[in-house]
Amino acid sequence: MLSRVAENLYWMSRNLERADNLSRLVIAHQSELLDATASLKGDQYEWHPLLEVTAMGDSESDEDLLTYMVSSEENTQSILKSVFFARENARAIRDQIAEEMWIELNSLWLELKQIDPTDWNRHKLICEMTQQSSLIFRGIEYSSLPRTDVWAFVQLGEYLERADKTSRIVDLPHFLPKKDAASAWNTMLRASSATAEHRQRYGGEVNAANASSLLLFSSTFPRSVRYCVKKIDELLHFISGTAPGDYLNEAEREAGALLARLNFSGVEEIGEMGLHDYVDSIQVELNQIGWEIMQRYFLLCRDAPPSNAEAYVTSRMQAQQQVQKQG
Amino acid sequence: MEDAYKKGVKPLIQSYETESFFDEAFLDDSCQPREGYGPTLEFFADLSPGQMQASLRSLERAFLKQGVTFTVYSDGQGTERIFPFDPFPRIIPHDEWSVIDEGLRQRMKALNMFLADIYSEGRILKEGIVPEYLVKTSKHYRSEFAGVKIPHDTYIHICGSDLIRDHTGQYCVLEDNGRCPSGVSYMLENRSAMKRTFPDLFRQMNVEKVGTYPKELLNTLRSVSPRQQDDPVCVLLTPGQYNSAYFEHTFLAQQMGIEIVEGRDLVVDNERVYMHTTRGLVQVDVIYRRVDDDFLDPHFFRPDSTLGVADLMRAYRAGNVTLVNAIGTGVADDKATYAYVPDMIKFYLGEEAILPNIQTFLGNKEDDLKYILENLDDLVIKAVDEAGGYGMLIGPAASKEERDEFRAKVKDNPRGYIAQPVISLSRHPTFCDGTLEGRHVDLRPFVLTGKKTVVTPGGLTRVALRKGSLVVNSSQGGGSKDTWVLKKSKNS
Repeated sequence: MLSRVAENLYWMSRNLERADNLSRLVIAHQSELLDATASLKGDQYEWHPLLEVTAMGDSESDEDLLTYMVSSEENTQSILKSVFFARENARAIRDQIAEEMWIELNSLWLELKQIDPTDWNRHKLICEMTQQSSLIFRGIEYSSLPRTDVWAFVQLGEYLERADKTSRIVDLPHFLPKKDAASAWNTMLRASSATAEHRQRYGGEVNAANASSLLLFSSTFPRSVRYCVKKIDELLHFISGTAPGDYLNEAEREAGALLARLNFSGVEEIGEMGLHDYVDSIQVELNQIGWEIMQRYFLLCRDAPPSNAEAYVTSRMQAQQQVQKQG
Repeated sequence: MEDAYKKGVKPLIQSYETESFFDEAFLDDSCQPREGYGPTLEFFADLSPGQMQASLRSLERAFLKQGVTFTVYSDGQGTERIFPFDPFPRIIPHDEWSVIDEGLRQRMKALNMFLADIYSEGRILKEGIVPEYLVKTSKHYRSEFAGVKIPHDTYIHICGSDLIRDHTGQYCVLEDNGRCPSGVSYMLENRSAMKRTFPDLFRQMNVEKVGTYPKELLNTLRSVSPRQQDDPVCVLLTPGQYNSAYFEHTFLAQQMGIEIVEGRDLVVDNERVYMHTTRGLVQVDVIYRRVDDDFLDPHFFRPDSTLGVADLMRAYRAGNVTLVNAIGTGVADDKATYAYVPDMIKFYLGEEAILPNIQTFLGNKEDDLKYILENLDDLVIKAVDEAGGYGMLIGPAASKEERDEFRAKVKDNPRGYIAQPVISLSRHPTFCDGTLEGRHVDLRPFVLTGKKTVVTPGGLTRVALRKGSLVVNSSQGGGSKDTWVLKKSKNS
């Protein structure tokens, strides 16, 4: 497979997963906030924790924070922009994926664009449509992509992004006032579609130990960090053909090490480090895996890949238009 | 019978006027249909306005959702649009098509012989049939590639000549697009849209298939591979996803099952071309390039090009990779060279041209130049090296300033311009707000040449949707129609 194709498959999947996770988080957070104390009301207090959690940093724009996260043109990680990039990635390799996958992403993008900017319900619509469409997309992916490298790179992007986002979601209480921290555990279970699973395991009471244990260390729940890392490890081995437990490149070594850490030493480590520092250390390792994947499989092209997606897209657009005068 | 027909289709055509133009569907203002058009008119007349509306909407939605779009750069941003589509098909009777088919083959053969000749012995230049300086001053002439041997001496593998019909209905060649002609994906998508939307109509007619084009294209690519092995590696080189024709590039690559690559996916080593894959380098044999000569190799052509592949020309010269189309074909669709194609046909094949040219005045001929400058108001002036409706002036429709501007340009660079009389292109009934009106059309058929020549029966009919407009280009208000070449009827 062409390196550029692999790269686009991977980023298509990551960008969509990013949009999906943020949509989930916004919806869940909004609903839980309605029960929160008065101290949390108001744009800055309501949404700032999500900005922190998703590492979007401080918004310098005039837009309110919700707009900045959901529909901003300025924020390259907003839901709308992530869908845009996912769609651009898909467009670049539409010959490689199932026709229906492309149509689903393209339709989502066209429909999101058509929502009236003055619609009071706009943000909710964007989040819901993104979530819905993402489910359909994954369904088509599951039922129609052949289990080759195409599948592997799509899944790799999906699980890496999901592992990162779940680990961030778990960190939400850190950014909330103490008395509202409890609401965060509901938010994160809802955002991860884990409410039902949590009830089955632990009964009705939601607490930090149970929720974080489920979202970080479950070996069976498909959105848990451990589950995602296990998948990443398998996929990397599938792509290179290396035997399980062995490693051929740095990406595989890093993934193996992180998986071992999650498999065997999770809960004690949290006790020592504190949850915030713990998930932080996981994110660092996930980033490292992402970087190694890029080194190993994408950077074969001399042309630098999009570290700054926007500037990259603009420069490519200009270059490619130079030759568009032909009949 | 005749009256029943008229009564049935009346609402559709009651205000239709042929206005002295050659009409593709009607013999005259009494709206008697030409061969093949009767059943189609009746079919559309039977549809209620509601059914018609619904069909049009579903067509449009399907094109948009599937991303069957081209990109317009007027605002600097790049907006994707669908190519407007008119559901009334253009119908070409079998016998009429046979002439076109034969004419295109003849023309293609002569053009390829011409290119092989001027890049080797140059017989046609020595004998003074085509002026040598005209060829050597063409912007697209590549003297550096004289003597490079290419498979089957085929330079133009893929050609999309534009045909028009004059006021008598005679098919003429307007120009030969021998560089990177586009539009074939629309031909294929239009066909599948028509079959999906109006299956009942399609079933009644006996239409030649166009869907084999991708397979024939792949065969053509394989037939010119320098490495004679069973499974040569063919790729499609695109400028990238922001190019206006990107949809077509992915469409064709996907249909053929070959990789679509960008310049940065390829690398040249030891005069061989390789692509970067996740499992290392893989050698490439044939490149169907949708990138102009100028951008192909920054070491050879424009150094600022980020779309090409460094040293690709070294591999090409060494004969280790075939480019489709070959380097330097632009000299054959230089609009001044065009004027000599009938002479080429006579010179190489000893035949008269089956498809005539449009009368053309050459800026570089003294008498012609004088005529051009004196009659600028009545002529179409074209820059010899532009395409896609750019760099031209339609004298009667232009303002005084525009005409003065072109007069100065022609005087300044006579070799760079040609002039043709304004041809009243044929018109075709086209849906405009629920009724039919005549709109000007042209036809771009696609011809493939590798080891053998294949003419796809049909092509892209482009239609100028603006009333009275003669410009059919998609970038300037043009749309398209499906083109139905009828099969030979069994009883004739």
